[in-house]
Amino acid sequence: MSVLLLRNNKFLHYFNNIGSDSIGLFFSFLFHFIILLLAIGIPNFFAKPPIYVPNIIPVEILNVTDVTSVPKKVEKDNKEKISEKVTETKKFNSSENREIEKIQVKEKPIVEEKTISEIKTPKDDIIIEKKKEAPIKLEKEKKIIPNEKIEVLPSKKIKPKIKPKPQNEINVEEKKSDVVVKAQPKPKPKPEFNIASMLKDLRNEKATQQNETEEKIEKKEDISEQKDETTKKNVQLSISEIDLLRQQLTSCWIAPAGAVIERGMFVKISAKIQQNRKIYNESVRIIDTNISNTNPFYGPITESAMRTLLNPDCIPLKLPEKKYNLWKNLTITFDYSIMKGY
Amino acid sequence: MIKNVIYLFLTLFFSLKVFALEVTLTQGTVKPTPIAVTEFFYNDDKEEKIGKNISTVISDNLERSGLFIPIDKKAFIQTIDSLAVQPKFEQWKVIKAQHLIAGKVIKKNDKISVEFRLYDVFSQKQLLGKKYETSEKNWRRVSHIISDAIFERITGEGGYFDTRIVYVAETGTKENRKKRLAIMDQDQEGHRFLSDGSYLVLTPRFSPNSQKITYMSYITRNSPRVYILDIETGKQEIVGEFPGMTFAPRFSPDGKKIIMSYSDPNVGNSEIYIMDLATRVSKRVTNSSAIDVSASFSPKGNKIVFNSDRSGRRHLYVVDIDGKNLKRISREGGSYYTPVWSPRGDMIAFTKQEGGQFYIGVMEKDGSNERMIAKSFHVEGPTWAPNGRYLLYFKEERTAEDGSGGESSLYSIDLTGFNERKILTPLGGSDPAWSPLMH
Repeated sequence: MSVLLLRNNKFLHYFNNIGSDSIGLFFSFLFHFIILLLAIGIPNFFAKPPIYVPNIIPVEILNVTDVTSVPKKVEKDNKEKISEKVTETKKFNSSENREIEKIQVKEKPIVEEKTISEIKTPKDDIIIEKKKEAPIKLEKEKKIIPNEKIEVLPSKKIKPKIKPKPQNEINVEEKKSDVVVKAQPKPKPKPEFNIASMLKDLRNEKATQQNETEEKIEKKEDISEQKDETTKKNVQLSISEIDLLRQQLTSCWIAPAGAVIERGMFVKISAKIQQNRKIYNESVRIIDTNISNTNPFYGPITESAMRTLLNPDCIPLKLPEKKYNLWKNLTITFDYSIMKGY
Repeated sequence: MIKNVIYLFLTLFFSLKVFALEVTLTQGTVKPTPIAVTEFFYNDDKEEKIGKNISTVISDNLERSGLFIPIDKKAFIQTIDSLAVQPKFEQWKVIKAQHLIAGKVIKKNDKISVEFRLYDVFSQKQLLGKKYETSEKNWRRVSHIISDAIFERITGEGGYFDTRIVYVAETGTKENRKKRLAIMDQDQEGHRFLSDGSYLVLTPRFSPNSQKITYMSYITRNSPRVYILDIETGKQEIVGEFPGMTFAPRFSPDGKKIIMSYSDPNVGNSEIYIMDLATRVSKRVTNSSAIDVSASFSPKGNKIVFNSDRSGRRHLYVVDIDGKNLKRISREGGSYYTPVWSPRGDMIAFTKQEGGQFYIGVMEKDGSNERMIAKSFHVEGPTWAPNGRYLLYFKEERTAEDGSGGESSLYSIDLTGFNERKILTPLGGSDPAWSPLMH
């Protein structure tokens, strides 16, 4: 029976009569079919039906620093406050008063910005960073120096190693490359034509080159590690850092006295912040609000919001100095939903 | 080509979004705003005295509002001479002032010129600057007008300092109490009596221009009537002769009509009537077998609120002035009295009696959000400040067994129920009425 079936099967019949012209097409089809089968896989008809998975509840993962920054910063705040007082009292100095007078006379906000920027240059902040990084690199240099054969090396070669005072990580790399460049032209044994000494120098050179390359690799690794750490830290502000700022601003936001507030009212304010965590006064502006200009309380409500950022009690803002890029632009939404009153 | 350029520009524009740290604040601090009210700049002793007086009145006014806390003048760093040239905001920031008021007084013969400036210390901007010229004796009025301007600019709400209060001054024992009409400024200055106490007066109310007062009096014994008194001339006139009793009068917002209750001796109950003061024609508003009293116009003058016992207990009702669309607005337990529509138009203040206590309460005009703001053995008669934020009422002490006590005094309170203050009057006081703004 089965033989009869096989004989009548058209497919087999075709297969038996296959010509040399169509054999290529056949193999191509077969080959592609096998590839497709391998890619998709043979369906398992005996597998158990898939288990019903309920809707996944998204969980927001927030970065929380290992040790909360609140208690530490409270201490810092006290110090800051004391220092603030000192600075504020200093402002009675005639020089500062003159500055203020000048600003007021001109009534140009730009002038204010300029004066602030003049006093607090961003360079200062970079220098602080350099100072922090510098000791680490100096230690490494010290470690490298004893490995080298100081006797052989000409004094000129040592000098550039001490010089590098890496201002930035990138600068450090550049300076290292300088060191290598300077190391290459050194084997110029012009003063002496002694072959033995030449060989010695060459050996030493090789040794120094090896050391330098090792040093380079180590430094590069260190730098990359440091970069990774800093980038990880700078990715975003932790919840405790944001909360600290929120607490500070809440204490400085004095509700508009007497204003009739309706539910859902909000004012969105943007500001640019200096690296010393002080606000550029003239950068504070309303970017969005649902309060109509014709509302008699528009002025008091928006002014109270803007005054929050200008409140001396909130200067400087409690923000992590190292994450400047994350908070140099600040947007605050003042939500009056809870503050409904009369 | 142009389309492509536009697309490119738009994509670049939207892709150049600057990253910013976003923080949402849902809670602020509710506390009075620190304000520095400096003495006004002067050139001679007379000007100095006026300047000091004006500064003191402004400072007291703002402090009394409960929304501001004037900073002690001893803490000021910048002198008024220096301030007259230019304010040094850093010095005002040090003493935590958020706002600064500076001014100048110039006296020429009997006239004074008063100039003031209001600054925002934080933003270092002048918010307001005005100059007034008046006779020297008007320095107190000018102070109130300046206070109003400052209050309005900072809070966005109308001022209420250039106003007066009329009330019933009380003396004597409870059995033999003498009641006189008295008037004073809202800061309790310029007090004077308008009647000699030979007849009983009750429920005085101001006209919209603050020049007239309507009240109920027992000038003719056993037949109390509604009268109108011109404050400036002292001229008194009866509103109308009716067979029964007329009482609880109030002016309409345009001052052309009076709304009052009339008790017809033949029927026995009281109804609400509106009388046109020009034609002296009265029009009945309510018509029921119940007692309808204490009517008050809405600020637009198209509706009235009154209290009635038509449901068995005293409740508050709102009705159109033509008597249509009657609606009960009070829903809670207890009895409601003396409703007054807020000048803002959004709220109604009332007296409530429940569980042996009296309350001063407020509710929305539809009766929702009822809340009590003052409570005592006996509190009654709320009246609104022209800005609809403050209320005056009177509080009566409990009478002791020996007959002592039982004195009544005036009190002011914030709409939120805070900042309750006793209004000092030479005698006891009841039935206060707050005038509209006089400027």
